[in-house]
Amino acid sequence: MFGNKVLELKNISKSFGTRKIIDKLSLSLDQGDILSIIGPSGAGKTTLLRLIAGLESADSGKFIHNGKEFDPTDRNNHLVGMVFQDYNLFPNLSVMDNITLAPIMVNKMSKAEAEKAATPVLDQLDLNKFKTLYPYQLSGGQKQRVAIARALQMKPEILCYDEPTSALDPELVGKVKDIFLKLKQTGMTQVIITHDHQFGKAVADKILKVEPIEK
Amino acid sequence: MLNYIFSILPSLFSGAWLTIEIFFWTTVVSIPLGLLVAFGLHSKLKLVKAILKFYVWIIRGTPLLLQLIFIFYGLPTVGIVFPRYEAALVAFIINYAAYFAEIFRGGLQAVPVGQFEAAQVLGLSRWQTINRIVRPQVVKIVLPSIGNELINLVKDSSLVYVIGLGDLLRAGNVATARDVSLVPLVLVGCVYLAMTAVLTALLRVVEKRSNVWK
Repeated sequence: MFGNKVLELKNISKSFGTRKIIDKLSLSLDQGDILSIIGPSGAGKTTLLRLIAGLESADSGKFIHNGKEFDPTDRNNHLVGMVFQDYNLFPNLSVMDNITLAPIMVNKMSKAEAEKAATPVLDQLDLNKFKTLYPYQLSGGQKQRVAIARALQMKPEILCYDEPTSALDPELVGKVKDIFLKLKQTGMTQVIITHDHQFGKAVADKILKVEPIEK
Repeated sequence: MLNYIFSILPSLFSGAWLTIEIFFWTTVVSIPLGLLVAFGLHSKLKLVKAILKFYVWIIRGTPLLLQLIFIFYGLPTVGIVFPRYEAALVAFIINYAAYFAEIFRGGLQAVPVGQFEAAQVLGLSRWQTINRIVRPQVVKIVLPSIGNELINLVKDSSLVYVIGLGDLLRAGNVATARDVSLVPLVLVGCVYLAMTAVLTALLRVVEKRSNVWK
């Protein structure tokens, strides 16, 4: 739809000790693509996502963004946003402060600017009435939307989700799917881990099936 | 009776003042010191970690009373002399810093790894993460334990009696011995109760303020 290659992985390998998790994996994502990573537990889905988000460093291989190699572990690039499985919202901050913390601290926005910038996202994700609440006062689905809003505020080009449907009621799964598709319209490239095959296939442009590596 | 009470109150209050002084200085020095030690206990430098672990082990494994006697009566035999009041402060600060360090260490460990990771992906620096995310969470976790230690400190301060400092307990004891009366000791108890009651109320206010989030 948009055409440019936002993310390429070339021959990425990762081991923990002697256990090989990912072996020479290559893939390529165009802008606006939704990639579902499907597979059983222990197949390295989460590790792959953590490599892309820079929470682990690869043993070998290259990450390429728009034709240029980059290092996902560098805190100063904000290419990749992440929505964690249990959201990891900051419990000591209100919804608004969760969302505006990084723009204020990292991008040096004023509080007023950051809150203004957050408003359309809050509206879009139906979070406006929760903005003064703290995470413990929210339901799972609301927390997830806050986590998405928080990640979006750093204007990532790629958004990763670790098991976004695993903790949700069935009726909320459809809502999440709508969010993914809306973000796709804006050109967001998304990577989703799931072991819900149906869901994975329903939203994805590309599917990556992973299996544990045989010894 | 009332006249008697009024006649000994000034000496009790001056003793209580010493107790408050020891409480104050121990608190304001040993809490930051304990925090530093706690960070040191997480240090990647093995030597630093080993030394600090040894310090905490020694201090928590021996009586505060022994430490007081060691510093005031023991150290002069090897040429290190502290005046009474300073000896008491040194002993209390070293002792309480070790306890606070253990409390802070536990608090730091209780912050989930996911909090650090979320901050990292958002691009926050280490310092920003500690200051905005970790510190507020640690403070909330450790508050009840810190409060407990502070209440202990009010009462532990009576140990300075053994190196001859005129604190609240000593003032009461002197009056009891002199006048052969139970009244001074009862009053001493009341003053300790009043001090811990004020402290408990203060701690409750602080805890309440930290309860806006869970």
